[in-house]
Amino acid sequence: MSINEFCCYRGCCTEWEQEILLYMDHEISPDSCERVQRHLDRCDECARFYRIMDREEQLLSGRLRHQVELTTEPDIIADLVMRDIPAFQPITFSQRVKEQVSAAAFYLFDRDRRHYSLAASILICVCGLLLAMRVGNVAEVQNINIVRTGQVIPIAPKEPIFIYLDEGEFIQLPDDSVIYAMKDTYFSVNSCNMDAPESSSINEERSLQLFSGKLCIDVSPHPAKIGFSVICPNAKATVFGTQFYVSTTTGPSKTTEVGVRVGSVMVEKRGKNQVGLTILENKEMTTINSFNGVVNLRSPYPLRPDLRRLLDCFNEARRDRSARRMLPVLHLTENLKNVSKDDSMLPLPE
Amino acid sequence: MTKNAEATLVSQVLNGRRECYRPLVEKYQMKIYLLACSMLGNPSEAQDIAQETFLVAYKSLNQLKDQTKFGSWLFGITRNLCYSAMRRQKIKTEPIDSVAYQDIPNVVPMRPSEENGVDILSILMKRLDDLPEKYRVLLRLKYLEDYSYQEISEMLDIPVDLVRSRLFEGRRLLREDLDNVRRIANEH
Ligand SMILES: [Zn+2]
Repeated sequence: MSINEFCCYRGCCTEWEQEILLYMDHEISPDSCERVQRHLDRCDECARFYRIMDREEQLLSGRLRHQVELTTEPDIIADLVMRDIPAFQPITFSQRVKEQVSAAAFYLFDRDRRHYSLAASILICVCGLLLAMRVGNVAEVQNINIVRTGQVIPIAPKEPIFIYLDEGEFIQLPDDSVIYAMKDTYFSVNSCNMDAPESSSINEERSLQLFSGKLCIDVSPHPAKIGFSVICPNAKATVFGTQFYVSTTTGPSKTTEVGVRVGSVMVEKRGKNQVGLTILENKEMTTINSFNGVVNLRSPYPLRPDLRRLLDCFNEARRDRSARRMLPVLHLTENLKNVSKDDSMLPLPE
Repeated sequence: MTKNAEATLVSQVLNGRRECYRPLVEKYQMKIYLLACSMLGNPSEAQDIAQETFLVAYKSLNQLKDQTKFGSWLFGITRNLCYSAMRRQKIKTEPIDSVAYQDIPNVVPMRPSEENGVDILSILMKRLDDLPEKYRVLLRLKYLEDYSYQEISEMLDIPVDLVRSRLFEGRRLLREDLDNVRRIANEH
């Protein structure tokens, strides 16, 4: 580019300037994009304006990028930050009481006695909380009412459930979450507490333990954002309202698969000294393998077609709640899944 | 990572799981670093600010009201840290700063044969550093990483329309000197 190549920024076709810049920034609708391209083909003046602008912008971009050394290790900030931060202490009940009491004390001993009423109400709240805790502790072991094939069945927490029906089984949890468990699946419901206060540990309030087998789960979102966890031998998946799939195998080398249809799922490694997690988004999956005590967590990759079909079908069946009609549909899907393992791709029957 | 996944991670961190903070840092570190670079123009200082942003954010995470707005909140912290860094800098450098930028147009006509964009680039770079802050930060951000107007809007907390008009105006101002230089060069 010669310095003598005179080009006033306010070129001849002034009305095109903004359009051309938007075109350069890729911030233009496909229609306008075509229009600009056509004009650039016809108008020498604008074509030169575009060429020079683009060249200058690239020069600037190159120089600035060079200055900030974008070639350095990108994760250095994360490494440094993670080195420096301590773990948060979850707020315990006694801490909360202490806070409330000290707030009350502050108001009580304030010279301005107008705060009496406020102090009193805070104290009442504290007493109420304490009482609630006592009552809660007494009624700790509670049965969980699940719905199996249309019948309400109370089960004890962690009571094993084994699915022996060929067509699998639909199970509804008290929080309205729905599980489809396939044949030979062995799992338990650890807890399904919908009344848990928001502040309590979000992992423990709604959880399933999957020992082996395959589950499709539609988690109903919780008003207080309590998570839903599926605990497998070598992994744990935590979600907040989504449709997803989990399968796990037993034996010396365990493999767990987690796939998501919609929403996002946090998948963590489980095991001695095993730390690591990943986030799955819509239509992604991951695999967790463990061998000789080492757990490997793959980074997210696109949901396999057979799992995508299975989850889509599960979704259809979920919307129309009559289990009788959806079971055969899903039974088909499961067979389809087994077939598709042999690499023959069949379309889902309408 | 969707906003929901971010909110999930934030609440996990608040429940004592510090390892859940890493994916959040990894997602935003580049944007935060480049935002600080654009505002300060000094990479090593920007890296310090980026680190500080994540530490400050971690310490005050329980003050984040809407957990789906972690990103915007983070950018706000970065901007505040940069502004206070700039204030500190200003106090230190004010007396020397009075050397006005005048000499460039005189230099160029003396060697009009110099081509291949070398001079053009240094004129543009000098001019960029002297632009008013609202244009300078925006242009630097655009040149450092080809962010969309939407992303820039979130990083600087200004409406998308304003991003568009300021980019346009900024690019025009950036070349004002260049136009003069070229005119002088042509006259010789
Ligand atoms: Zn034109």
